[in-house]
Amino acid sequence: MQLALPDLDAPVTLTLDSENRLSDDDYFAFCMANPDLHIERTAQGEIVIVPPAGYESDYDNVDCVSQLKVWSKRDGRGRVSGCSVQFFLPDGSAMSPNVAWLSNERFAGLTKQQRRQFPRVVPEFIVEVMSPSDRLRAAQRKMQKWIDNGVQLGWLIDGDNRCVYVYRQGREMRQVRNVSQIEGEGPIEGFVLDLTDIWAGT
Amino acid sequence: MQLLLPDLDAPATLIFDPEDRLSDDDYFDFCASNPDVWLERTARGEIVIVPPVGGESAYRNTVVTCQLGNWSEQTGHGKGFGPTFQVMLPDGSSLCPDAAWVSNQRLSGLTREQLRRFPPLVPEFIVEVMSPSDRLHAAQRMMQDWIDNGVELGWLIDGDNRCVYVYRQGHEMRQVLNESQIEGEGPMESFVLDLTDIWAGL
Repeated sequence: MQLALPDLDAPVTLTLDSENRLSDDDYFAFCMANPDLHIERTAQGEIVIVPPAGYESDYDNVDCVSQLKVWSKRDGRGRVSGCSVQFFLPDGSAMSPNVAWLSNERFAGLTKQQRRQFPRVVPEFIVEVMSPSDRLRAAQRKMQKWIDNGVQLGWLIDGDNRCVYVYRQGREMRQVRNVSQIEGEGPIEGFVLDLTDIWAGT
Repeated sequence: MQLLLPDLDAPATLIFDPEDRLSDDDYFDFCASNPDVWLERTARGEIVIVPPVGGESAYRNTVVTCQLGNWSEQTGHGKGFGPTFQVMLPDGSSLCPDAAWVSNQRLSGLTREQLRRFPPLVPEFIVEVMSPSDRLHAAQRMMQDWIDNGVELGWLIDGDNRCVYVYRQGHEMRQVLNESQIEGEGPMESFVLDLTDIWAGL
């Protein structure tokens, strides 16, 4: 069944029969059947359809991915993925961060099939870049979920307000404002993200 | 934006921005752009995608609507409606009863424009025919919602179990089991629904 959605300026939640959640395979197939939509799944099995991010958000995304990729290649301990990779997390949710860094060690634990679908693994480091449709408290709740699922370090980047919210496993969330760069810690110690172009926007 | 849904064997719920409900006009337009999808809306603004009913449910429905239509024409005080009739109710929900009867008096209170979209009106009488995907407690909750919204008489027909649950404004719900017909009351006094073909099914 096809459904024509109206123009979205906020995420849409689709709840299928609550007593009959989609299996991981069926959920993957559903995402593949809708390649133009950014889809995630909550721990409760609700499917969230996120509106397209728009040029500026994608520009910021690409900036983050490319800087992290350059560093990661030199560093050699892990690999970088962008927003088309969705992770099945321990709490039952399925989410795709804008950027993720996954250690070689954790990557090696995946089967070939998992590498070709949505892997059941927790990246050590993720970045979420706020898009115009995101609301801050919802974005912050999502960051906490990443941490609760085992991510060691997460950055929530608010380009419009020149602010990075830093989520570190076992620590209080802190804000970093109006700085031109931010330094990685823990799993990505040694990585420095230049924020200049993100603050400048498009 | 098109969404390809997985096969549904139970209703799915779509929630747009919960802080910003679709207006009645936008909701109608959304339904109109999805003519092949059976959509309703709850009081909280959640959009429910109802799976298609199978042949037997459709037949049982037709047995009801034909008899209701005939009686309605003979008595002349109102109009009978089938399952494509969607009404907007006082609690904010927008629902399609499988069959409904509305007095001419109530209909005359609406403009032509309203009657050509989803009219804001409460039918005096509604019938819901259970389909295989319906769960009894959900169907009964829905009947109570109809009564809470002002419907005077509602019948929930469970064809497989030869049972009619009778909901009457100001009375306790009662069950009528294994009867070959059921008599109307209140606004439907003199209407007698022959249940034989419904029990026989296909």
